[in-house]
Amino acid sequence: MSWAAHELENFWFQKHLGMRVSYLGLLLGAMAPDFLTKIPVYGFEFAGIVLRTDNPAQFHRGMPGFGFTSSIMAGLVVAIAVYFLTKRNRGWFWGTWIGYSAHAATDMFDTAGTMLFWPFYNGNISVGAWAYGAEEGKFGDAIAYFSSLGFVMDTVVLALVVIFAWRVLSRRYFLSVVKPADPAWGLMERKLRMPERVQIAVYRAFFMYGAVRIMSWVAIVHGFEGSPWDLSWGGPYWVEPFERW
Amino acid sequence: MEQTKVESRAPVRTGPKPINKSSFRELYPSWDIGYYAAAAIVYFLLGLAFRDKVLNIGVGPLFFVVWIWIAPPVWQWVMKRVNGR
Repeated sequence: MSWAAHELENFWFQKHLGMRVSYLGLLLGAMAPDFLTKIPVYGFEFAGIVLRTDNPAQFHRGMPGFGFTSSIMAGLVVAIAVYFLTKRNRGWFWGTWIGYSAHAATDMFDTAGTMLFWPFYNGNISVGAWAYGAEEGKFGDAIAYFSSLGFVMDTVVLALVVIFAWRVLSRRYFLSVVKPADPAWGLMERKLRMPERVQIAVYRAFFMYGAVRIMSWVAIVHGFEGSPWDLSWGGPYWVEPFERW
Repeated sequence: MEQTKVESRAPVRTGPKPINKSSFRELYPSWDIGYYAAAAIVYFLLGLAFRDKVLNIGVGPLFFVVWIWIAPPVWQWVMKRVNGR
């Protein structure tokens, strides 16, 4: 599980793919794999009803469970649906598929891994760089993630965008590449009467959110909570191994 | 017979530089950085105060969009009031 890389990596792809993809498609793809799973994984309580799975790792990444949603082929299915919903827009198709696949590939770096090549190979592929910590609850997962190599992963992605792709966040890039590549921006302008500066804010919002989220969580986890760092492979040490299926 | 000399000149570039040749200052005016930096500082502080109530994907990106929608007209209004006195 990554806490900021999914929001930030889209700008890296945007730099390299230019007008061939829709940024909004990339964003949709990057967010889609966890649509069904995040709430039951961390647990949700409303009016006395608790919605939480007994085995978050299996529910999120395994089979039986929703593990197949973190795969390249699931991304293709979603991208085909998006292609027809957007009146056969290729930018949205490629954006959604690339964003979705990148999410699945990024999540492969934790100990639970992802079913990246489902349905051709149903096992999980894991690099195991940091511990899958959803069993700790959302706050516990944040503490574990930002104390481990997960923090390094997010910081590296942020640095890649800031150092090598900083021009893609500019107004000129938005107006000359991002907006002409996707009719959805024009639609937003007309239907929502969205001024140009607000369209650019929509484009930049996930970069800002991802970057500040890293800083805030690091300050909370290490400044306020006093959690130690554990940048060892598969750390942090206090996260119990998840229940295998 | 009079001959006219035609000097060869490099083509004169009109319009802005290509993006990949533009400097940081050309692409990011200071007012632009100012609005986003202010938003980042406020969001960071809100994140410290309210933690996951603020640092989530529902509130986070929306915060920046609403800030940029509202902040420039509010700032212009404030400056008009200040200059008008």
